[in-house]
Amino acid sequence: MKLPIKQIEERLKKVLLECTTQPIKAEDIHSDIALLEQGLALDSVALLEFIVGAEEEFNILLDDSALTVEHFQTFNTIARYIQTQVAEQRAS
Amino acid sequence: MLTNLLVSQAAERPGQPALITTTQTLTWYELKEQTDRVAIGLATCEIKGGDPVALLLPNCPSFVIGFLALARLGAIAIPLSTELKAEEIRSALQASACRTLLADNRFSDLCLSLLQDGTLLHAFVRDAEDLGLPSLASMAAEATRPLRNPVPSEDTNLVEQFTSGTTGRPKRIIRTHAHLMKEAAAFAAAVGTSSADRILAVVPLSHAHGLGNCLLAALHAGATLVLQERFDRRETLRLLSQERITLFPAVPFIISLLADTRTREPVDLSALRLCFTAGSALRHETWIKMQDRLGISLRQLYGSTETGALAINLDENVAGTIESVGRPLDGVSITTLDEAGIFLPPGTEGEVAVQSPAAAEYTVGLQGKKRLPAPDGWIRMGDLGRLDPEGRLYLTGRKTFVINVAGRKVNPDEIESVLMEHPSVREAVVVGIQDPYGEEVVKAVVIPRGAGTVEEILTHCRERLADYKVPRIVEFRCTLPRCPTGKILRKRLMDPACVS
Repeated sequence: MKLPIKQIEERLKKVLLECTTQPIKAEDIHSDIALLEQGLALDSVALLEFIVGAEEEFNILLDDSALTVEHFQTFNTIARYIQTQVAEQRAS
Repeated sequence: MLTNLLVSQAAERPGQPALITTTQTLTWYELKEQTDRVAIGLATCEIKGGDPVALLLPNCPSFVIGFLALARLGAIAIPLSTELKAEEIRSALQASACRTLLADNRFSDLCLSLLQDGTLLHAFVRDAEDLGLPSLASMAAEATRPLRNPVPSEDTNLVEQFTSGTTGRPKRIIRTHAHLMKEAAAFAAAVGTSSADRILAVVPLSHAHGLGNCLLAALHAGATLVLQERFDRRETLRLLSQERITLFPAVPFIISLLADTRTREPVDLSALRLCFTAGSALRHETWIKMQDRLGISLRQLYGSTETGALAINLDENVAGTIESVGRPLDGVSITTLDEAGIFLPPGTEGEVAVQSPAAAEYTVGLQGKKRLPAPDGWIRMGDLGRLDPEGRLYLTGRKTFVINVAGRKVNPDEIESVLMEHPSVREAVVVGIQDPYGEEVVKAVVIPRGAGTVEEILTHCRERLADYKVPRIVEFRCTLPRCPTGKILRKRLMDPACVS
């Protein structure tokens, strides 16, 4: 069973605020915000910190090289990717 | 000469792997053959001794072959970070009067534009593809005539690297064949490198850490160099394990992420005899994390672009000396000086000063050539530190305002100049502040003109600066703290809590 997307977004918001060293305001994080340049503007260091934090939060493994710019298009797209990964990795 | 090392390794161990990537293995014999062929190809394009040639390549065989081919010709290799933006690359090429570029395929559009506007005379990409440019691969395949260029002498300039410097715009550091040979020999004597070693190069070869402690270390010892193009946590752990890596030069940020990374397969690091960090201070928590997670006792190395490696901590008392960067390498002297340049006794904090036979003799900046050592013969490192009675060096801070972003030095002046180009910026000051993890990050304090937004200013920076130089924090203020003479009190802006 898939985790609800809203729940994933809430948990990812916590990860973004707690695990990345880049200063981000909680009120700026919403489903449609881009994670890269025109949105939260996470740099490469912050992205890696976010990925490591998300792995820990959801107890999954994310492949650095499989993650592309498209995954970070919006906060919602990365949440959906993690939703799929959680479901697939729990099933296996 | 550096190229003699390649000739010796190819003769002594022709069939042993020299370079390994995920798709390719080159033996020492093949590396020598390909290097000669690329040298012939470059000579055919009239590249000769003393000519500057830039390398804009990731950690890949082409970087190694290009660098060694330039060394063979007596040309000057200028390794550029692949993180640089187009304007930064253009400025670097112009500062060095460099008209030839060996680049990764992804920079082909930039190469074509630099050729078109006359910045470059020659540009070569890494692999043969239909990019409208000649490639290093085809150059090696087509070389026919023998190489007749004279072998360079040991005082021939070999590498030119950019450094943030302690003040002003970035400076160029030029080091000779002899400098790099002496650095490699001192590192080998300390670490005991041999042809049985397998060195993992994740840190960029374009950086002094990767060039000295990966490429030169492997070349000197006849060791195998395993190349990783870009850092990928699980791939790095896989390579450490499956390639039976024995030496792993890293930076604290990489180590910290590796220690936090869980894997499906167990990671076997039983072959790893030495893992060390350089570039920025190793935090105690990172050391503990690496020890607990992977059973590795991390060590620290101290060096700089100007000097190469200077000291390494290989102390038998590992746990008691974690914070130390160790004792000087062979031929290196390290001391601490007070403001007047007087030697300080052990235990007293002062500016770290060094003498090394591997250090550059001068820097080249906008004001021309400047001798690197002060008139008293000591090179000021811009770091604060103290020596213990046994000669171990402990670094305690920076004397200058240069910002250390995960081992990459950022000069505030460069960022300030870019910020000042934005129409909404009346005044800008850039400082380094510590983030909650103890790493330094770039903070810009801006006095605005009109109604510019932080996002506009950051977009402006991102278009002109490598990612690591783009401010993590932009703070708008009405005034800047100044002393009575009008000088900006930068230290007041470095307090993370100091936000107005």
